[in-house]
Amino acid sequence: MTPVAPTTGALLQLDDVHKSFGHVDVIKGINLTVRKGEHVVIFGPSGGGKSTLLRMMNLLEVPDSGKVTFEERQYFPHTGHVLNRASRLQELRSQIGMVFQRFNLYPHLNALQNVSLALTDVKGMSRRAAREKAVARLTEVGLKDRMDHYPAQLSGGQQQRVAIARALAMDPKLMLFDEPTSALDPELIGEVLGVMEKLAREGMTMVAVTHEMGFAKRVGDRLVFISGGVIAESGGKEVLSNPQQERTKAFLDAVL
Amino acid sequence: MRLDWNPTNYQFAWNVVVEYRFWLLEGVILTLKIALVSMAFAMVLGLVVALLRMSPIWPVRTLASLYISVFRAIPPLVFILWMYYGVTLVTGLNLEAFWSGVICLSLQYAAWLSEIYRSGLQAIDKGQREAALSTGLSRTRAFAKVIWPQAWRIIIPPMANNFVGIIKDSSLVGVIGLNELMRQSQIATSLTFRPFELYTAAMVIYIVLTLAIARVASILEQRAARSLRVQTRRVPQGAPSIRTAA
Repeated sequence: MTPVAPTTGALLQLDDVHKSFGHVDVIKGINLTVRKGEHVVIFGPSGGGKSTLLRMMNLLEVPDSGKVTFEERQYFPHTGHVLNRASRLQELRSQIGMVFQRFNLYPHLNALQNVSLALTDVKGMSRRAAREKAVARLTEVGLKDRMDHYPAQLSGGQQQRVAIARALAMDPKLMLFDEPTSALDPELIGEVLGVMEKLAREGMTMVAVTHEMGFAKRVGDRLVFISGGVIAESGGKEVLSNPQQERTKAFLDAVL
Repeated sequence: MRLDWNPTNYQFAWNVVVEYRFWLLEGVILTLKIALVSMAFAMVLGLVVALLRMSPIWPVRTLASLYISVFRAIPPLVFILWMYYGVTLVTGLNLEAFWSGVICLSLQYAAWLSEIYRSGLQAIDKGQREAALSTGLSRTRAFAKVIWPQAWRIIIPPMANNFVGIIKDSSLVGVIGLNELMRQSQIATSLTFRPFELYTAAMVIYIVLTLAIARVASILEQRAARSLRVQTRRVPQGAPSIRTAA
């Protein structure tokens, strides 16, 4: 891989990141820059390292080597005093929203509390202000009338929309989606993709790992095909219509 | 009192129980004191041991699991005698019987409780912690606001069982001269030669204490379940439940 030169307007930058679990090398040197307002779609065969790569962006997964930079500030490797490490991680994560495949809503809290928890406990907002903001976010994802419901009382699609609202409530500069529709029944996928597309239109910077090729075609500014722990191919929409690599071709033939 | 089947023609004298009621009551109070103080210490220490047991640093983990294996292996009676007679002699510490007993029970129950904490905490999906961390919550807050409230519900029933255990094991500290319920009934017996009546009374009291704990635990559990929105059948107020009717 040729290293990417430092780019202006870069929001998040991964430089030659590596990660292995035991003896398995999952990420074998990846360079990736996400610019402000850009919509990056990551796709590829399972086990190729897509999720691991995404989780490195907010350091839920810590790379073995390489560099992670957000807004020109280096978060990995950690610089400065060891005791500041935890707060630097919090600083990074509070600026990046993440949506998970299995929603990961807090089952003991209702929708409103799910969304407002980080507002009171990370941003230090008053209960009242947090509530107001949470209501606004839930309204945006179309769940104003489900605020008092607990996750178990919501459908999968509704749960995932609450999870999106939870991430959005922090006013993130970047949103990460980790296969957000893979755990959903087919008829519920549309409502989640709808919310994501609306976000994209509003200019939210996002990185999405997804198998929804229709979504990738509509929203993706840059499509990144990951296979075997490296970026096998990357580019604009032409990656989908006219793939250059054999691996990409084979994958697209299989899923489309 | 007369029973139809009475091969030894034993004459019951239940009045000794009434006569020694304050004596027994004193014992109950001390039993509860020992059990409550020990349980409180064991709950705190147990959580610490559980967290150490799950530490990413292996020597810490090993130390915690060593603690658990050792303290679970010692019979409480031996431990209590060793602590009160042995340790005080060697160290010159002037340890009161009450605190000797409490220390022993706390250390041992912390070992049992830590495994309960651990299984409760490990039952919570990893995604919960990740979601909390991804919103910028600190590890401590993620634990306090997200993990613990969910684990607590799982932990309550086995925790109550151990509280029952600690009450029963508190009867062992009578051997170092603490006048808890067991020893009080023993002394009363030696004064009245009425072992059947007095030990029966003691047993009934232990049973009542245990039932009370079970009741409190089930109330706590229902409350935790309600906030988790797990389906719970709510018994209407005043309706007889099996436990209160028994």
